[in-house]
Amino acid sequence: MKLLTKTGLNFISASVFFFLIGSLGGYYFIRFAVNRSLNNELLWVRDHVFHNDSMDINKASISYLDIQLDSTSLWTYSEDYLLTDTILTGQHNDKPEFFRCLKFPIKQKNQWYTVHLMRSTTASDLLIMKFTLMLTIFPIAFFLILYLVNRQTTKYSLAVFYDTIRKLKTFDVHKDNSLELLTSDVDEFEQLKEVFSAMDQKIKDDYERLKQYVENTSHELQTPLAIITSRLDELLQSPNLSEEQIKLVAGLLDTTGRLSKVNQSLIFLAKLDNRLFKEVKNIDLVDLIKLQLTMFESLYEEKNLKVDFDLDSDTLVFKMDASLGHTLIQNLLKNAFRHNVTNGYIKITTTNNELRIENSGEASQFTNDEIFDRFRKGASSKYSLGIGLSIVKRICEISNISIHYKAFDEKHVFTLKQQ
Amino acid sequence: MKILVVEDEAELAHGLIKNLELEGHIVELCTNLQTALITVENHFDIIVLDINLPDGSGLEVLRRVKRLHHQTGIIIVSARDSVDNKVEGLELGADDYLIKPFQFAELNARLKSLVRRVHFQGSEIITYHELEVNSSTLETYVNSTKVELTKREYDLLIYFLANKNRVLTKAGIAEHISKGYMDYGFSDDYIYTHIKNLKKKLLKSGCKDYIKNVYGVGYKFTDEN
Repeated sequence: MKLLTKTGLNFISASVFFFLIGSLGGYYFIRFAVNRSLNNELLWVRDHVFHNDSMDINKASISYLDIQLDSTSLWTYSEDYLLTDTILTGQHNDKPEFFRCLKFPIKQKNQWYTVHLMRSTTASDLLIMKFTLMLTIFPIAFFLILYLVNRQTTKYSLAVFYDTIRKLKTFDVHKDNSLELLTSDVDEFEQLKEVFSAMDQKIKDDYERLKQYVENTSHELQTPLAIITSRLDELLQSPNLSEEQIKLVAGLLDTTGRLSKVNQSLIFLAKLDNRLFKEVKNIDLVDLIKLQLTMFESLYEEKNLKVDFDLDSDTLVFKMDASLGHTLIQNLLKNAFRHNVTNGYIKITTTNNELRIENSGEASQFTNDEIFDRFRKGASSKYSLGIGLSIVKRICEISNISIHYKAFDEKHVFTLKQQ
Repeated sequence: MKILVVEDEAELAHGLIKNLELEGHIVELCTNLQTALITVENHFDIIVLDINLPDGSGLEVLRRVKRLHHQTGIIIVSARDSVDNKVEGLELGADDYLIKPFQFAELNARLKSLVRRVHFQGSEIITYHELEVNSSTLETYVNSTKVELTKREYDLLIYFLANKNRVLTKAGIAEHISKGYMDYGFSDDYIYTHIKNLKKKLLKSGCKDYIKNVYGVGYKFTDEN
């Protein structure tokens, strides 16, 4: 739930609650006041009747007053008079009508009568109804306007906040530009901005240092690795080595070779992260694939693979750095070859500016894009360094290409599309 | 051959020089850019050039050599595995580009191929006892009888002939044959099949068995037993 909705909802529900209590109180207060004035009026008529001391009650009556004399019932109450509400029908159009009724005893000509003084409450009921209605509608309108105005102003001041969130969402440590947040006259938001800006700077600095560290370390490692290789090679050539010694040295030579390959990949990744590839050109991927396939003849031979093309046009042009394009295709094909099975296939499809590389292989442990994580590799891949596909991923990120991986049992599909 | 090695790493340089001298070359060493720029005033057949020198880029040497002596073959040896560097070096006129670390056998094979290209215009008859290989027609003869070899078998034979009496590891051979695409998934079996076929063809045509298996870790091309 949005902050705006949340606070708005709280505001509305609280005001509706209190307002209901207020309206109810108002209604009862008005009712009470009106009843009181009616009572006073009836009592005044009674006094008038007593003072005149005449039976000509009808004369004293006021037009909206009804008087009935009842000689049959005896006054048995202890009070001097009694005030009640009563309903009579048949006065107007047979509709029931509400009356305020004052009963009191009176003695005339040695005869006791009970007088019923009745005053219609229709007019005052109408008044109370109108009043209550007003008490309801005005505040509702008032609160509604208040709420809308409040919502708009809050929205306006929260704009900075939403902008900050939007920018944080797109925050990318690889990007050079710093986090440029809007300034606000709200202190809290201003503080937030300061914190985020400082954090942005710190993350970027740390990341920069890390990249430098990786690159320097890898570069520094390369020379010692070269020396080790050369020395082991020399050792391997020396005469009179025992079988065990030769196996040992050859094994070390292999391992050093692998180590240096990992290292070279790391240097390349570090370079990618440092964005050293900025010469964007139009690169024809189909052309690149065909060119590179000729270099892998030996691999077709070994695994007896079939390479199929299904192209909707002769070219598929992506805008990217030429050497990155080269590495991208090389690594993708490398992957398709390496994880293939004997007598398998590779199918290259282009449709609507989308490149699809499909290959047969063993069932994958990875079913989606997690395959691109650095140093992920299947259990059986002896030659795999688990770094090739993360290079692919980075190249795609740099070149604005979306890449996805999907595995269907023994079928593996990579799709690339430039955005 | 007269060879100049430009390499600032002493340990690497000494191993290289020792091996090159064993191959019968006359070798000179420069450990920085300044002395290298002066030394190349003299003529060398081949220059093995490191690009990362303490006082500058080895590409400077390359430029100067190309101005002075057209006949000099240049092999760049660099720890920088970058396509850009490679392209720049080759565009400036380098003949080959080798990424460190490498086994000497690889450099040796490329060196010999370069010597053939530069000094024999690509044609040279390589002979070894009854074996004879013509590098321009890519034909192989045993006792003057032609042996039909596949391209890969021929490449293997040339590699063996360039590195006689050396223990060549399977990885090294695979790397050479696959021209750097070793990590594309070549297996030992792949190398084994090709070597087995080569051996069979040579033996059948009456050639002695020079390709010796070295305890399963590699091969050695030798006439010793």
